[in-house]
Amino acid sequence: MDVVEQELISKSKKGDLLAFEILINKYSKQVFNILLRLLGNREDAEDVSQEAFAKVYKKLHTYKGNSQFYTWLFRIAINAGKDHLKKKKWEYPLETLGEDSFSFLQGHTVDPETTVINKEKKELIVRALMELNLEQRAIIILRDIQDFSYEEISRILGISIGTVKSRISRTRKILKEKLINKPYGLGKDE
Amino acid sequence: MDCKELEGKIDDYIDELLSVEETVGIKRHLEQCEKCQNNYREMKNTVDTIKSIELEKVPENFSQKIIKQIKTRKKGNKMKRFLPYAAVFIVGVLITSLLFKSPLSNAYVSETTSSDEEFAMDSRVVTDFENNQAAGIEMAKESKEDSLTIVKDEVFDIDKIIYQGTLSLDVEDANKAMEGIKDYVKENGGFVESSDNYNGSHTDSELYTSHSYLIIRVPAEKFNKVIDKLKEFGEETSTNISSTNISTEYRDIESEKESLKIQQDRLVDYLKKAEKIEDMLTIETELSRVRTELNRINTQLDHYDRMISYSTITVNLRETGTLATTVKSPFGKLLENISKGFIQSINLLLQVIHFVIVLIARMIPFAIILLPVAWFVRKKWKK
Repeated sequence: MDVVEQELISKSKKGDLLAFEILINKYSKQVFNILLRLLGNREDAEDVSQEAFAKVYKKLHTYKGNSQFYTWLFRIAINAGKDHLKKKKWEYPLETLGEDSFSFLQGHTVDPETTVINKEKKELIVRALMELNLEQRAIIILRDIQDFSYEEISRILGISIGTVKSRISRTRKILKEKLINKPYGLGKDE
Repeated sequence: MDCKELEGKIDDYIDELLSVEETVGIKRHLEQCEKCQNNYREMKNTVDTIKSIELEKVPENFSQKIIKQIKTRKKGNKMKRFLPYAAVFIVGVLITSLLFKSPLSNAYVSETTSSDEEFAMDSRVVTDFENNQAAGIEMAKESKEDSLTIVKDEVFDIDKIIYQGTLSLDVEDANKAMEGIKDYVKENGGFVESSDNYNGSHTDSELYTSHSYLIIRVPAEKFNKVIDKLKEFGEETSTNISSTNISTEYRDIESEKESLKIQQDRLVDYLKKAEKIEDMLTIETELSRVRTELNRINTQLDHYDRMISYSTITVNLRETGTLATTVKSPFGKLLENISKGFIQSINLLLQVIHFVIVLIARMIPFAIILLPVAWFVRKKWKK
């Protein structure tokens, strides 16, 4: 862990909110995006990620520095997301997703280069992601969207590397099947 | 490398995590096996699509919002921090109230005094009270001598009875009735022992606006007659007559008196016969003791005689005023009542402040013990 981060953490522990704000800014994009894909909409993602950071600040004194700060942080964020979904009782929020996923895709600044097919592809994959269960979704987000190594993922989720590997390959297969069977399936446009 | 082996490694192949040899092996197999090639392409495509999901921008003012949230929570925590102290305070109050009966007792006492003030206590002790009493005692002495001689001469066994009566009357005009009673009592050889007059305040808006209180003494033989006559001064609400028979006590005391007298006479005889100064002194001491005792008994008998020959009647007079016959406007004393109410409120407020100050002072010893406990509990709680 780099020295600057360590300094920021110890300052935050003493109640220095300015230092903590720097930490937030450093990790906010990752936390927000993990929760965005986990929860499926921006409003919830924003609320829960803020909640997660507040929780991190509160629990900072329990962080002893034996693990990487970001793995600890992302673990708290993912758990917050899980709790949120449990609370809302939509582990599979597909029904509510329909309009929602559209709106956030349209709201998102679209690269002018992106073709219509690409757009559709993206929409499909986001939909497919939301059809997965929570554990599968979390592992795909961490591996393919956030690009974490198996080891990092195992630390964040608190599972063994073997489990991480098998879970990834299983989930990828599920996703592949889902996408191929769609009308604009990926297998057919090549 | 066969198809099955390839399937197990396809993820690592796509993620480019394999060694050079393995990569070469997979490439070679893919060129040969169309099925695996298709599978790989589909998988690669899927993963690429997932990877094409870009990271979205963080909402605006994200970190500031979190900091704000943390700050407000801190305030909440501060409130929580006071919770154990508040609990200790309440426990302390309970303990003090248990140990010292009620912490309100002080306030209660002062409150009653103030509520007495409400009545605008106008206890006018009649000026001629002392004269009356003096005269009464004089009369009592006279009659005592009469009755005493009768008792002694006639039957020893005559009952010694003290009569007492309490009479409550509703009257139209308390002062008028009081004067009438006083005159009547004097005519009948009695006297007024004490008289009080309370003028009730109109804020109470009760039926009875004022009441008076009289204690009169009348000769025992006229007791019943006076009671009956007094009832004519107003509407009787309650009467209570009681008699106490003190014959036995009286006789005991009298016989004691007799024996003391005999003792006294004997001692006087001895004193005359005595020759030694030492003996004389001893007899003298004994004589003075007997005399003192005799005096005491005489005083007691006097008191009994007075009680017996002069019965006590307590008269309560309540002024009902005019009930339904005339209109009585309560607005006449509006300003006065307002100022009274204002003063009452201020008094109450001062009492409350006084009570709180006293309570805090009382709490100090408990605080010394309990505050560290509360602090300790809070620390444990946090953990």
